[in-house]
Amino acid sequence: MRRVLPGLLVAASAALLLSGGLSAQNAQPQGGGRGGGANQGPAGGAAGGAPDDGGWEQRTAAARKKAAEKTPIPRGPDGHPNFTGTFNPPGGNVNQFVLLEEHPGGFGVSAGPSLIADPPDGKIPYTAAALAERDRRKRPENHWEDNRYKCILMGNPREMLFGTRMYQSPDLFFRYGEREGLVVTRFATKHELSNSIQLWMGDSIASWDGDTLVIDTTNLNGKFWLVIGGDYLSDAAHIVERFTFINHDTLDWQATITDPKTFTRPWTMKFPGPWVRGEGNPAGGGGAAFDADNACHEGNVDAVHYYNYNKQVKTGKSAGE
Amino acid sequence: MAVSRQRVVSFFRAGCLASFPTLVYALISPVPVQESRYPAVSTFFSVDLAAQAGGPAYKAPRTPSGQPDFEGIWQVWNTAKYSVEPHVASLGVQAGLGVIVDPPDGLIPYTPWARNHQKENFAKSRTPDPVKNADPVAKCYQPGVPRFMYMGWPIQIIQTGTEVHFISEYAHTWRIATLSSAPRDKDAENFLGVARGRWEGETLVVDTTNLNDVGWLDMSGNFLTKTSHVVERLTRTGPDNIDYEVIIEDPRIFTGPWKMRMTIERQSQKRLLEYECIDLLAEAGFPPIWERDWDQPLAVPAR
Repeated sequence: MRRVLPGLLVAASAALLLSGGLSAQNAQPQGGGRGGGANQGPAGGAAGGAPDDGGWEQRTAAARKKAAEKTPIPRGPDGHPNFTGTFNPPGGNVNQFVLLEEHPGGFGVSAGPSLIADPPDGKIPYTAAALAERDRRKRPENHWEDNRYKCILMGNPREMLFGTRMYQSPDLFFRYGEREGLVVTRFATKHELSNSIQLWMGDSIASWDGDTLVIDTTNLNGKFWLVIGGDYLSDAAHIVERFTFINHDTLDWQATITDPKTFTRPWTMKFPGPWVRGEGNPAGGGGAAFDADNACHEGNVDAVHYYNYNKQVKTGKSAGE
Repeated sequence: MAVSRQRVVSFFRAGCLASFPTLVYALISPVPVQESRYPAVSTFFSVDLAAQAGGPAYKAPRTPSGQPDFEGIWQVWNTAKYSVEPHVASLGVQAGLGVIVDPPDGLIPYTPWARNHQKENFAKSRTPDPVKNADPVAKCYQPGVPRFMYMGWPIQIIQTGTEVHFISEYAHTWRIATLSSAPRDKDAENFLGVARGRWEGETLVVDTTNLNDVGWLDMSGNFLTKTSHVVERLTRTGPDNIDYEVIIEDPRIFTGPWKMRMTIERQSQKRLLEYECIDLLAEAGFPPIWERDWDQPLAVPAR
């Protein structure tokens, strides 16, 4: 069974890639609390502005080609696949960053297909009340509420929507993407954290299902957004992520979210992407020192602009009036 | 004994603080400027623990890559977070003998300008309003190095073989000591600097440069600058302890290198929790919307 599965995964994932399941977007993460400024426009459908393709088509085409190669998956000395390296959703992260569902482009944001693999219609199965709340958050004047703009921890699984470095040992699986996405996961069979503790990154435990790494997360605080476009979940959420290598250079990541307070049924998002072996600075090609400073909050001038815009819309007055 | 926010606010509110600087500083005569009385920091001797203890040094278990194993959750439990120098109590603040072992008087060998600047920092950090408080940690900024290590939150150490990661529960801050001699960008100014690590037997040596002019050493306004050079030595002395020694030099503000020493203790918890400082500030009524305030370099006079 194990020998058959990788073949099936390659075929299934290749189909997904070719159908546009890969979000083909600008490599530059848009926005966040680092003064990205003008690019953090309203999500989806805003008038004007041609999408900035930034080479995403070429990157996605290259990634699809690589994903079709038949190369052996990387394994560690213990025989398990080893994910130590960098996962880079191809063409960048603007699609996932904005909305998980299919959306048109506009104002610096490229159009994108849905990343939702289940339900088949590609729409997150919100309850009616939760959908209204999601659409409320989607409004630009409410973007101030997004934790990421304030350089607060991203929540789980948002950090996987960016380039993420991963380190795996027999005891730990450590993800350190943009630093607001830092999370350390122990290999364990059960959660041990009291329900009265709720965290931005939750309590996560890792285990193996054949060659798939499964990360199970509970104890989330439900205060974070999943993307700019307002997708969210509550503190009742239970997330199961599955990391599976498609081949030596491509990682398939998916997350199934169950949250009876927010959704009518569990749903799954997934996207495969290039993976590069090694640690350190992904821009330097695994192994280079990662020396960058994470001065996200220190001097976060965007926060005040979002805050002022929020006040302006709510009170009808311009900043300074 | 994690420092609760309540306690930190109490400390900032303590009005009777004139007592401590006046008492301590009245006893100091100005330190004459002189040629460095120490050799360069990189050749500064480190304490031979085996000789001191009178027995064989502890040999830590090894990681899979053969390095002394420092992994786990650790925390410093002393009063260095309030002041690394000797200090009396103030409201909400425990008195302390200080953690400086060299020079022998336990005081930071500041230049006169720098000592004055420290006093100004102290005076400007008595307010509970984080926007007005000069202490960068009051605004949830990254704490700088070495304050990161002893500010009182648990720290998780993870060794990947090529890097040693230090992750603090405070505001998800995190430093990486890259175990190589890869060159550093000489123009970089980072809140946590740029660190290179190496092993000397049982000791992890972490060499940090590229700090900035913003970081402090504690809640009392002791500070570093972008030219500060911090060398830390971590040595496991038993199953649950790390001997932590720090030598700091900065020719612009200190008359010579100086050394701190303390113990880092293993914690029994298996994982970090979170102190999401920015969110807590917002919940307390201080949404993080203040403007950037750290662009200006420190106007350190030439010596």
